[in-house]
Amino acid sequence: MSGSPAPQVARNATAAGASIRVSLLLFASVAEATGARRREVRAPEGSTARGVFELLAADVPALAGRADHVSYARNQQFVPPDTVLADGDELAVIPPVSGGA
Amino acid sequence: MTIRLTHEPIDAEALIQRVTRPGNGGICTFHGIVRDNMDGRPVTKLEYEAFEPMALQELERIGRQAEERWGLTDVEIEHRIGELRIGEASVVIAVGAPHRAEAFEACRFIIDTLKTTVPIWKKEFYRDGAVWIEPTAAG
Repeated sequence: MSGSPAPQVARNATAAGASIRVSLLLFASVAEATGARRREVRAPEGSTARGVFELLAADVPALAGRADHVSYARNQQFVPPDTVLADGDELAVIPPVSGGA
Repeated sequence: MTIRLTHEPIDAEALIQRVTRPGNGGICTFHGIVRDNMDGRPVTKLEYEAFEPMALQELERIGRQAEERWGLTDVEIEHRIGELRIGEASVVIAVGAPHRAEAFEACRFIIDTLKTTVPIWKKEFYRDGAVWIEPTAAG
């Protein structure tokens, strides 16, 4: 590691209170693509549910283009994709459901 | 009203027993069964996954809605999670109402709504692979 500035701008911004921590809960095909059921992410303050998913998708190529094909639940309540999240929120990414028979 | 997610085989008889009461002139049940094929392609087993706290919440909401709309006396919904073999029940719904028409309609409403809103997912396993079923993506 050299002493060059870290690429994680968001981490520096944290001290200034300009980022939020979100716990992402992942299921089914999204969990499988990510290789995890849970991810802790830092996102710029003002980030939406969709925006936080896009941050994950930037890391997981298999999730590209899926932001409009999943639903979002904040702290166990369905919310519209453009809902602004708060620090400490839990965001569940809900792929199209297929329970029943 | 009893709403359950279970990792064990569903005891359908127990659900039916609980809705069998003298005031219920009509009892209707729905059993969702693991089929051995998907459009002719052999299925070897299924796996169901749920976001459990939300799935329970959503199932209860659907049950209450059915109770109010059709004046049901009893509603029982149980969904299985985990690995299921062919022929096993993935979901059992039992409703009891004073008359049959309400029981039929409510039972159908519950399974149809469940399939579109409750955060539960099905993975189908074939001899040569497996796929998560995502209805809207499939069109």
